Amino acid sequence: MNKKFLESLKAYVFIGPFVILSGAFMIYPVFQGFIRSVYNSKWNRTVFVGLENYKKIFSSDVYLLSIKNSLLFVLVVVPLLIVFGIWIGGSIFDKKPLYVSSVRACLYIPVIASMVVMSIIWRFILDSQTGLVRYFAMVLGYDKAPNILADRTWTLVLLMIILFTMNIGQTVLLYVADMIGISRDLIEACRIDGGSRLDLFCYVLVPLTMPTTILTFITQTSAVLKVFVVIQLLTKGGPNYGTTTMMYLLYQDAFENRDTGTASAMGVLMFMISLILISMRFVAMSRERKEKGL
Amino acid sequence: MKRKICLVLAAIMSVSLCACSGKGEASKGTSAPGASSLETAEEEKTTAASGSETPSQPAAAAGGEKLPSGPVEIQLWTDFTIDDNILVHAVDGFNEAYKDKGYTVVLDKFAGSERSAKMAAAIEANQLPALFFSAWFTTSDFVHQGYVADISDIAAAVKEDMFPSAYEATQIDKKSYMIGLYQSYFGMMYNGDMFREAGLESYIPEDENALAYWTLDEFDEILTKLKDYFGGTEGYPMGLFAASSQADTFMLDWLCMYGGNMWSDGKSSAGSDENVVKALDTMIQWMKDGKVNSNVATKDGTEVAPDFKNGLSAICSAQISSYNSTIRSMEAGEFAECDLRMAAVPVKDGGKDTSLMANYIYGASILENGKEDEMAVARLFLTWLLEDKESLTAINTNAFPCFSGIAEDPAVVADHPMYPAYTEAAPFIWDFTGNVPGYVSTRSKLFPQLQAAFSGSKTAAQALEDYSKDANEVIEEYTQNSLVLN
Repeated sequence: MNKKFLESLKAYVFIGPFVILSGAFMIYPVFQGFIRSVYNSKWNRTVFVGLENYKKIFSSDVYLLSIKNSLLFVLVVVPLLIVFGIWIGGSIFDKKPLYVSSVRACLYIPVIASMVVMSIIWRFILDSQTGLVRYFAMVLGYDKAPNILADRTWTLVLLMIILFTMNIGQTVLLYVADMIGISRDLIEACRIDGGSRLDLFCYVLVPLTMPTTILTFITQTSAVLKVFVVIQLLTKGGPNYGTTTMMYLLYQDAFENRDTGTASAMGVLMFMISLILISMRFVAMSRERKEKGL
Repeated sequence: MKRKICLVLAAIMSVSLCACSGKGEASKGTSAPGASSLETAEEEKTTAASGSETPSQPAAAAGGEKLPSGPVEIQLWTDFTIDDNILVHAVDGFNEAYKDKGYTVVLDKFAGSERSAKMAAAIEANQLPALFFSAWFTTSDFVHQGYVADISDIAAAVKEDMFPSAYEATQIDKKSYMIGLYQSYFGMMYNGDMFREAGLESYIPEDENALAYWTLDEFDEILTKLKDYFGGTEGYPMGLFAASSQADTFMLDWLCMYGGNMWSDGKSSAGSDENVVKALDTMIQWMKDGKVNSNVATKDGTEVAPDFKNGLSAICSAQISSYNSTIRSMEAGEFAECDLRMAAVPVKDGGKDTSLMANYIYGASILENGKEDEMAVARLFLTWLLEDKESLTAINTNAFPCFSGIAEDPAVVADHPMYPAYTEAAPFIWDFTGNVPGYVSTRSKLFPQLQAAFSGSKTAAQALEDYSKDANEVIEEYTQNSLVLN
């Protein structure tokens, strides 16, 4: 009895710090976010408003556009990261270590580079008055350069490219690490059976790296939904709200308009969207396993 | 062992009781927030008779404030564009005068771009400072939200010495929530050397301290010649910007260049005023013609001044205080010396040529932070500051004084030769905020619509109509919920 208790106590001691810290800095704020989302405290008094903050979000074109943009980023960037992660990882994992390390380092540089610095560099490149775009336009004999950042479609595409380049290194790193761990016997068996490189991808690498795919999906969905710095520095949600995202509006509401109720409601919605997307992935995976009888 | 534990517990209890007692005394000596905290006549007599007030503490003696027992430390937050030494000197003077009482003011100066986030975080954490020095238009939203104390009694004491326009500008419903310390007219700054090189010397006033007043037709010619001057380079004649909420003042100035009204009857009327629409169309045409920067929709206010300093533009937005700080940086060798001048924004109102300049009133407010001791010391600091001529003059002369006694003092005018020019500009000053409730929040509705117009996704008329609709919703929200109007 005493021995069992001591064993349990040891476990609790080990998980204790995490439970306390995550409770204080993650669970409690989430809980507070839910509570604040039904209050309005803009006017030096806190008033219970029920679902008014949510109604405000769903009746405003700007908030709806921000939800649409956030989902667009998730639906485009996250699949691209997974596809390219598997493709690049699968192409290099069985090459010479020096080559693998070089590719990984090149792809990982944007991950460790400061998002602020990257955004400023992008802005310098694309500035139609004093940037590189202007310089090349002048070299080519044009009077003016296009203001790409003032075009909603191009700005969205640009943001997707930036998000992709800033996250692909992390994804490739995870896939390569996972693929290096795959038994050589399975890869050899595929080759001996006459499997092409495509067969290796389809029947060995993709199924066996499914846990990494799930991890990538969860972490990148969350990362892309929370994108803020690059928008704040590059587009400020513009032009005309064209690149506004949920996280950007959340910040604007909380720290510029001091409307913490609506900001909290937006946070709750982001949480729900993440939860739904991730649950969908888990449901799809469990169905797949059942079909395969695993 | 038990005895030791008992002794330790007894000591802790004694210390706790002492602490409670101290707090009680402090509370006893505190005035209610926002309410008049004038000492009773009897207490005043006692203080006077005891002769405890030293000559270095004139405010306490004169105002008769009910003072808390020290130590009390308060924060002074400011986004003033001012030489740090001026505020540091004032704060040090107060701290020295009230050292024996244990009152300390701690200065926290930050950029205006940080203000919103800093204040929002402080409100959420219940850590608002007691003193807040900022522009009136940024403070007014906090007044409506109930975070700024009524300081009508302190303001009334200096009313006679203030310009009536500066005194009344910081009132809502006849109550004062700020004491104006200096006013800064917002127009343009131009590089006289570039004007000369572009063949525009006839547009530069002979008196180097005079403001330039051009007609709108003359200004168009200036832009045309400057365009030729910058031809084939990355430079541009004048910087316009609409990337963030900072786009309000300068763009509002220009939106009124045909005499249009941004505000009417406490509402935004920009969308229904054809002169405002015409002004926006003109600015869009300027951009297409290369008379202003090609990236108005994505240019930020913080990028325009550096471009100007680096010689990439000849005209940029400026107010008196930023003009003064630009001169200081030029004199400090931060950028190449040039002939820096100021100008008003030209207006053609119904065929008549005139000018305009927006006016920023910068001043001191006391915030309702719920800490009575701190608010009492903040009131004492304000009273002290208004009586300390040296500090008051130093702050007022950061731009154009709110105090007529300072603005008209021959010794001050001798040191600030541009004051007569600022006095002459008085007829062209306009209240760009329309004094509407929630003005600061309406700013976030303006720049997205300007972006839409400058990027061509909306017509000028449609963009301004949408802006007016959004702005009026904000004004309505503030009017209905304002804690000082209702």
